[in-house]
Amino acid sequence: MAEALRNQGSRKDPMTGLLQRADSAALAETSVKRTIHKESAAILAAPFLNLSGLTKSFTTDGHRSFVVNDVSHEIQQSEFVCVLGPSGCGKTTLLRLIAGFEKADAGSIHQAGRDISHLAPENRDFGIVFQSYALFPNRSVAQNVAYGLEATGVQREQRAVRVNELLTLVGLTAHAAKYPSQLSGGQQQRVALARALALSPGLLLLDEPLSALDANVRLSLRDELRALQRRLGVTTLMVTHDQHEALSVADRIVVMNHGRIEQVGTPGEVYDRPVNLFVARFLGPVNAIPVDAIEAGLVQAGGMSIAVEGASGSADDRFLAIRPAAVTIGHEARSVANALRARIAETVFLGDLMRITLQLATIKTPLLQAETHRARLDVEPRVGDVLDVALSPRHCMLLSSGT
Amino acid sequence: MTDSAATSTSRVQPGALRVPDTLLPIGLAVLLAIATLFPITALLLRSLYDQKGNFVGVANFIRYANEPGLSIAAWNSLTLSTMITVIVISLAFPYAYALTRSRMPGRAAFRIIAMLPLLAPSLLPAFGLVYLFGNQGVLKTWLMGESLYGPIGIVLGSSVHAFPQAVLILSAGLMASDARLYEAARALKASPRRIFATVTLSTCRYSLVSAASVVFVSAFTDFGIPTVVGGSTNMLATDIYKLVIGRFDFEMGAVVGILLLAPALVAYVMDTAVRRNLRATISGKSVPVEPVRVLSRDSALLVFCSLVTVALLGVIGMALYGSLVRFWPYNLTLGLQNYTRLLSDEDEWRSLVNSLILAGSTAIIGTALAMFSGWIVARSIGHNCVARSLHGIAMVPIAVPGLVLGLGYVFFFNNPVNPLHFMQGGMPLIVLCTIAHFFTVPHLMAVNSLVQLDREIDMASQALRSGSVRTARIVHWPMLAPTLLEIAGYYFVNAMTTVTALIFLFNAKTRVAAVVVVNMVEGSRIGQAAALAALIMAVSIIATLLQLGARALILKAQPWRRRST
Repeated sequence: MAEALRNQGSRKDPMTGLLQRADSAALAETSVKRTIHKESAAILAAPFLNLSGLTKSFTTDGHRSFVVNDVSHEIQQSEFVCVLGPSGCGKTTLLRLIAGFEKADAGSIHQAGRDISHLAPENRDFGIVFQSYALFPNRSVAQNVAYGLEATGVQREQRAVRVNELLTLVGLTAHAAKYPSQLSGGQQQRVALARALALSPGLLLLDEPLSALDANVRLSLRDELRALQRRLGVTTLMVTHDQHEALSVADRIVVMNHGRIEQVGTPGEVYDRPVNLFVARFLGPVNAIPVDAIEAGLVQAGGMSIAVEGASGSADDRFLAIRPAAVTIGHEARSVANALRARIAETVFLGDLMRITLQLATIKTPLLQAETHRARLDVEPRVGDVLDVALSPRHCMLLSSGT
Repeated sequence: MTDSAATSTSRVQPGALRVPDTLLPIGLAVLLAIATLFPITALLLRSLYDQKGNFVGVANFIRYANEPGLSIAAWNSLTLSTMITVIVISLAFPYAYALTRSRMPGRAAFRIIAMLPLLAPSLLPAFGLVYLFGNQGVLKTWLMGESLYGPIGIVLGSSVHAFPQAVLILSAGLMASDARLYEAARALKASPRRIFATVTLSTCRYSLVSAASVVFVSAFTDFGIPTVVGGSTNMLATDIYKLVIGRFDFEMGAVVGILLLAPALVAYVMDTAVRRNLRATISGKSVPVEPVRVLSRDSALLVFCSLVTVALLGVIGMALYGSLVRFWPYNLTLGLQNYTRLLSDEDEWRSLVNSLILAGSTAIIGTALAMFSGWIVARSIGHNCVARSLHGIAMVPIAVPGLVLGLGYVFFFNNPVNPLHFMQGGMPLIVLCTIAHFFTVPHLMAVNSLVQLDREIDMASQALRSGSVRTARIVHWPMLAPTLLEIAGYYFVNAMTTVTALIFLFNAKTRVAAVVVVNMVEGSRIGQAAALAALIMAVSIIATLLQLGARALILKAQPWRRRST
């Protein structure tokens, strides 16, 4: 696939369909700009996909539960958005609502300025890739990709050309005549991707597309997916429970829990400035110590007195949080703010990294996790060693539990 | 609630037609209720009323208990069925074991031969027994002075009849095992005997229970075999027939019907209870057991299976031979006169045509209904509770003996108050009854194959701008074709061979061949009865061969089913 992408630059672009689409969108844009002066700003600022107050509940055994609860969100043209959350948080249901496989109890969905809330899936404009691939087992790779083109009445010759373009794009031209059962999981998912892109949809929906794949295939396909999306500029919404996946591919991440949006932001924002402990924990390991009191920029937690940037407000239901990788240890931790002494309780070898569980010298609990590059350590730490530790005020967070 | 749970509770498809989504499942549930629940209820109620229609409570049951001959029949049914169950399971288990877990040569042939009795009416083996061990039988001396007509005949005949079903169920149970369990047992130093007891028997104990209950119910409720070889030994199934057809004592017939229903219900409840625990034992990730060659074991099994098949083929072959003999036992020259007489008689010729009409329409309509109900259940179309009750109703017929269902039809549809009264005696009612009688297995086959059809495939199709008609034509139809064929074949063969449910329903114009066989036995025309039963079997065999041929064609035309990487 990467090769196919490289070839694209020199030779005829196989994704003419999509690019033409983008071109015409751009043309339309300029024409709009030229003709309508005052309203143009509003129209151009309008998001490509607009979810407003989406709500979906299910009743099981007389008990009503909200799977998607008043979700509003805007997605811009060509944006790659990841919906991230634990299983059961409603992210897949949200995707199905956008696709039209489920009907919302309340709220509306606008795509490209059009209200699609009540349209059947086959009348909406999206391509979808499922975790299970969901290829038609009775159709060859080429026939799978051609499926949507047949349904929309594309002529045979054009169909063949288009199928070939797409298979080139995903690097599967050699497998065109094979059946899904003869392909590996990664290949099947590439077919599913080509099939989803065949109709040049305005919106690409990805429902945990990488979860069923082996770790190595998952990583390489993830990067290819990202590169392809950038290249084609197709607005993409991906649902995943894997934070690494979301952090590495998304322009923006929507973190969901219990049917509600917890936070929306760029990968950096949600990782470095989570709105609560749930989001912080979901995006990666974090030390969290219940706060006892906050006084004059100092946070009392676990017997420590820690300076935290902008610390204020009540201590109720709040935690002092810091990611293990932000905990400074060794000589760098000497004579800086929030310097402490700690004993090593446990070490875990992680290759380049080392995870160290620290017991603060002053008190019994809590234990503190630190993660550090082994290359930056003067000596290999051993259990029982006492060393300097610092919690940099810039990296300390004050978070509510959020659940 | 998890994401998957959420999607399984809601099947609302915006844009799709909502009204049929709600109404069609209800319609099908009502149809199935009319075809099963209502007649059975009519039978239950009838047992509580006297001939004039006055409510008499359990008076009919008391009257039944006081008729000495009748309660003896209950005892006979119980003891003989138990005996048959023990015999059949002890033969079918090693047979199924040989088919699935050994490297015995000729396993495919042995499997086919074991299935033969399924293709004939239950009376056919009984005819074979008459020619072998009857008063003029060629091997009469083997019985050492005992008469075939009575318990011996019933036990032998029912054993032959029930054998294939037991082999089928036990083979399936033995096949669904996990090789890793055996590896684990060996790693734990278990002896072969201990492995057999703790792994083999334990993983197929559910199918043992299931097979035993099927055999018991089949023996308990079959009336063809006792009619031919039962002699003066009364069984409940023959009694109900005599009471209704001979004495027109419908109330007493209803009482016996309830007695027939009871053990079948117990077996059914037991079976479902056991099945409920079954889920966790074998997962989709199980590794199938690859049998290894063990010379001593395999040759012992070969001897055993050969003996069983010789007995099976002997009984069936003898029935065919008897049908070809000019005048048993005085003139043993072979000829087709039994067959020519059958085919020249208008009534009997028509009965064969009726059988074909019944089997054909049952196969087509029954398959359509089963796929439809399977679809509603597998995809939870419409209201959840409707789909669930539909599934519940679909599970009822397997617990209801044909005689009971047939008698229920008489009570329900012969009632002048019933607006469906006009259907009485007609072919549509006979087709409906046959579809209902055998509905459970096709329904389950449909549900199982549809559950395997990934729902995300439908969604992918929709996302590619295809409506449900196109999806059904291009995707579902090719994927489901083998299942459809299998269900149609099952319905066809059962409709050809069944007697029990139809014995009360026909009129002069709608009599089917299998019923004619019974009537011929009553007229002591055994030779012709055997000939007609043989014709029925021939049609069933042809239908099965056609089904297998069509299946082979489908698989050939669908290279995607072959895994060749």
